[in-house]
Amino acid sequence: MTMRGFILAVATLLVASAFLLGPASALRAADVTDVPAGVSTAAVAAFKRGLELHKAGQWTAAIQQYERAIALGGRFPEAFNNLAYCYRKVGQLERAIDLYKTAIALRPLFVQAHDYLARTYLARGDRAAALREYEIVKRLDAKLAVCLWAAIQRNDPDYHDMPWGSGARLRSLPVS
Amino acid sequence: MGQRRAAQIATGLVGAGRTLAGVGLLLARLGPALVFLAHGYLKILGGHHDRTVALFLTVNIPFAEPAAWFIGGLELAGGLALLLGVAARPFALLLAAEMAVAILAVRLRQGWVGAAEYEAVLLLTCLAVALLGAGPLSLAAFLRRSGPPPVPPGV
Repeated sequence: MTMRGFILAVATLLVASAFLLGPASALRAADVTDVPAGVSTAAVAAFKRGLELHKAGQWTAAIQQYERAIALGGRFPEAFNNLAYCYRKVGQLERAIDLYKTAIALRPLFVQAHDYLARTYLARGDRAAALREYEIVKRLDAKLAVCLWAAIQRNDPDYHDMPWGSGARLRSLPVS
Repeated sequence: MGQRRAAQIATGLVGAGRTLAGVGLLLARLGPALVFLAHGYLKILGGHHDRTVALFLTVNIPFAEPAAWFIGGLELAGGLALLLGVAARPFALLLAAEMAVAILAVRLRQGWVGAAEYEAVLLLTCLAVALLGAGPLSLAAFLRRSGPPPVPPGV
């Protein structure tokens, strides 16, 4: 291969990779969608019933539906996040913390779960742990972080809390 | 054609076999190179630095802020090294180590399909490049070929 041919080949590869950066960004953005693949219709239906009860503040009934959704294979972050919220509302803080950790393990950058986990730590009296979660929320959602910071400063986990749950856009997709 | 010559072609040591092996290695480098270039670019220049720090804080990676810059830089430089075929072995090894950490710290808890499988493919491809080197279709090989002939020992 001549010098000219080699330079041409390298330049072609560099231009091709530059063109790929755009689609790569789009793919990266698609990573954070809240529509999980492969969750059964029955699990999503139970989750939706749970969400309606959740919005109505019927925590115990919502817990039953969310537990059912998870038992039916709906092991998606929103189910654990919302179930944790309901457990927090009925005062089972340790159970709520475990469930938030599961939601975050499934989707590490799930900002609402981080926010709720911070508030649950605050409710338990663990301000240091709440501040650790705040550091994560601050980097993911500045507006949400302002509300969380105010809650931590007031030592009030319910200050600017969002009780409506997550996952209203969820739909079941075919298993690949 | 002698049996030895045929065996050399079949194993990619000479002739058409060598060219095909070179193209194969180039393709093996290109896959991870384009992935790491894109992700390194996003982490350093594409506004994903805060997300990376948040991820590192979530999975308790120490020194999350400098670690995020380091990993972004490693992916960008490593992607370029794999693309051009310069210092491909050390960078491939470093990127394979990064993928091993990603699998253990983040992906295993999310499962295999749609999660750990992606990093596992990158890990294995990088290990293959680390073991085989950049191959003949690389900048390093080109520079070796175009340099002065080696001086015999004792001259």
